[in-house]
Amino acid sequence: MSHSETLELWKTSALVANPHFTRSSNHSLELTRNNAWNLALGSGFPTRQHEDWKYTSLKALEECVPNFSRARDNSIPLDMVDYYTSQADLNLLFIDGILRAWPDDLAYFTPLAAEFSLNSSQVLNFENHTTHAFTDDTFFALNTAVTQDGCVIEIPKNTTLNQKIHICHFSTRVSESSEKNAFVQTPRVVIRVGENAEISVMESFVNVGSRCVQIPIMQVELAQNARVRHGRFQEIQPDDIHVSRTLVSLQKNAFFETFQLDSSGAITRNDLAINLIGEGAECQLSGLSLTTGKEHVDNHSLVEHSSPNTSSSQLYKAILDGKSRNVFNGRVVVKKSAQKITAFQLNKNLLLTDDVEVDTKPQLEIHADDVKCSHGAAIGPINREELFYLESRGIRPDLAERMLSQAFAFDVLEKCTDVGIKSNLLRQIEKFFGAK
Amino acid sequence: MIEIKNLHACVENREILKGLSLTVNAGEVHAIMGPNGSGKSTLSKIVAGHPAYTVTEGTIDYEINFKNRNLLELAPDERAREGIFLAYQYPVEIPGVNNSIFLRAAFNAICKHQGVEEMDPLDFDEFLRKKLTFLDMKDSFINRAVNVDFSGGEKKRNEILQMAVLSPRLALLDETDSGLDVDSLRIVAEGVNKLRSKNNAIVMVTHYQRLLSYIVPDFVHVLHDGKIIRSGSKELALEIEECGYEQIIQQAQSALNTKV
Repeated sequence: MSHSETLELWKTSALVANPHFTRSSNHSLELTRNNAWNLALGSGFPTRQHEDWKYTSLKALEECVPNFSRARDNSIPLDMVDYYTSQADLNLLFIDGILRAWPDDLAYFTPLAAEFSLNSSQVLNFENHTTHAFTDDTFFALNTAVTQDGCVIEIPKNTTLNQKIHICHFSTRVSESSEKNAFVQTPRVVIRVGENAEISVMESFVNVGSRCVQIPIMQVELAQNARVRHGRFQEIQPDDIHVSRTLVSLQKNAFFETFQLDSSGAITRNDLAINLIGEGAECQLSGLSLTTGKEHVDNHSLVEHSSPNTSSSQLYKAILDGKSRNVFNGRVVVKKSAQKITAFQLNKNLLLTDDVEVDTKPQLEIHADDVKCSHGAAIGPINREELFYLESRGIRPDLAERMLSQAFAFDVLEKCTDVGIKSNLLRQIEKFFGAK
Repeated sequence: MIEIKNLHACVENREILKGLSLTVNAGEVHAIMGPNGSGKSTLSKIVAGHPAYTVTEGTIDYEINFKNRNLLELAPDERAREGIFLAYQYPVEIPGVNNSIFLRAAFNAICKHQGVEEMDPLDFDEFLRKKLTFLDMKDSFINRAVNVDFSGGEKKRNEILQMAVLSPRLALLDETDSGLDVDSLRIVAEGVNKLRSKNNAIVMVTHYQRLLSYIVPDFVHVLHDGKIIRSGSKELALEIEECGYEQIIQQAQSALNTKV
C-alpha cells in the first residue's frame, strides 16, 4: 500500500465519522480543509527517505486503524482533572479532543468550534501565518483537515497574566476493538500575545484510555515586547504516537521560552519552528527526554534568525535506558540581514545501556557574516570517575547511577524560569525516577 | 587491620606495583613517601577498589568483625561501608549532586549497613553543621554541588569533611597536602588529628615531609618502583627531606646488592 493510500483510508474514516469536515457553511473553511486534504494525500505520510524523517519510522502509524469517532460520554473525569491541574491556574480542559471547560468568564479564550461558525474565520488558513515552516507538512495539513476543536487565545496588549494557562489534553476513551484501533486527536491552539503582554502556558497530554494518535498544533504569535514562557509534557500509553507541531513567531524584542519533556509513548516527534522576526527577539529552547523501554523520541527544532540582534539558545538532553532511541535535529537559519545575532545549541545524551541509539544532527545555515554561533553534541555513558567517587563513599551502584542521572536531568530543568511550569515538570520527572 | 602481601598491580597493562607488602594495625598512622611515579596513588586506589586497576598477584586481607576477609572480593561501595575511606588527590566534581544530599546518602548507607537507624534530613543537617565548624568550613559549603567550583583547598577540606562524617576505620589520604596553603594545611591536619583514635588507622601518601610535621606518623615507608624499599620511624621522613629520594634509593639498592 502506498503512503497516500494509507491516508485515503484516514480520509474515508474521518469523513464517515464527521461528514461536516469538508462540508461547511463557512466556505473559506471548507476550502482550507479541502486544500489541506489534497496536500496530505499528495505527500502521504513521510518515509525514512525524507531527510527530516531519516531516523524515525512511521510504520506503526501506518499500520494503525484511525478512529475519528466522537466520544459519547460527555462527563469530565474529575479525579484526573484534580490530580493534574491546579485551581490556581487558568485551565483549558480537552477531553478526548474536545474543549470541555475553560475560563469562560475571561474574554481571552474562544473555543475553535465557535471560531469556525464565524464566516470570516481565517484561523486555519495557512496563508496568514507569520512563519513558513510546515507549508508542505503532512501532519500540519492533516490537523488542518480534521481538527475538531481547539482554542484561540488572545491576550490584549500590556496584560500580564499572573495565573498560568494550563492546556490539558486528557484521553479517556477505551476501545473494545483490536489493538490497532487508535483514537485520533488533532487539537489546534492559537495564542496571540499583544504588545508588552506576558503569559505562561503549560501544555499536557495525558492518556489513561486506549491507544491514541495525537497530532496537536500550537501557534504562538508574540507582538513587540511580548513574553511567553511555555512548557509541555506527555504522559501517554506505551503504544501511543504523538506528533506535535509548534510554530512561534516573535516581533521586536519579544521573548519566548519553552521546555519539552518526553518520557512516554511509542513514537514521539516534536517539531518546533521559531521565527525571530523582529530585531532583538530572543528564544530559549530546552528539552529533556527520559526513556526506559522501546520509546522513540525525536525532537526537531528550527530557529530562523530573520532580523539583527536576535538570539537563540538551545539545550536538549536525553537519558536513554532499555532499548530506547533519541533523535535530535537542531536547525538554525541565519538570514543575510540578521547581523550580530547569537545562536547556541547543545545536545547531550546519557546512555545507560548498550542497546540504545542516539542520532543527533546540528544544522547551521548562516548567510550573515557577523554572528556568534556554536553547536555541540555529547553522547556517552555515565562518567566512571563520578560513579566511583560516589561508590567509594558507600553508596550502592544503582543509587549512585540514579543520583548522577537525576543530576543530569535537573541541570536542564534549571533553564525553565517559570515557577509554576517548573513545578509541573518537576513532578513528572520525579514520578519518572520514582517509577524507574 | 589490613595486611597487604606481595601486591602486584597494573593499569592499562603497565605494571605499577611490583610486590608491595604492608601491615597496618588499629591506632597506627603510616606515611608512604616516594618520588613521582613510584606507585603511591595506585596503592590507595587499589585499596579503595578503583576499577581501572587490576591486581595480578598478592593478597589484601582486611579485618571485619575480628575476621580476616579478602578485600579484593568486595565491591568499592562494600569496602566503604566496611570502613575504608579514600581522601582523593584530585576530588571528582559532580555537577548537579548537592553536597549535603550526597553526604547524607553516604552516611545513611553506612548506618543501614551497621544496622543503625538512618538519620532524617533535619538531624543530619545539625550533625553536619557540627562537622563543618570542626573543620572551619562555611555553612554554604554543603549546599553546593559536590566539589564543583571549589578551590583546590576547598576540595581537600571537603574530603576531610567526608572523613569526619563517615568516621572510617581505615583512611587513606592521597596527597592531601598538595595544593594547600599553609593555613589550609594546618586546618586540614588538625581535622585529621582530631579523628585519630586507637580504633582507626590512617595511611598518608605524600611527597613531602611538610604534612608529617602536622600529622605525626608512627611509621614511614619509602616506595620506589612499586615496592617498599625502606621503612622506619618518623625520623626517616626528615632524612628524606635532607638528602632526597635519590640517596635513599641508592642506599637501598646497594644494601640489596650486598645481600646478593
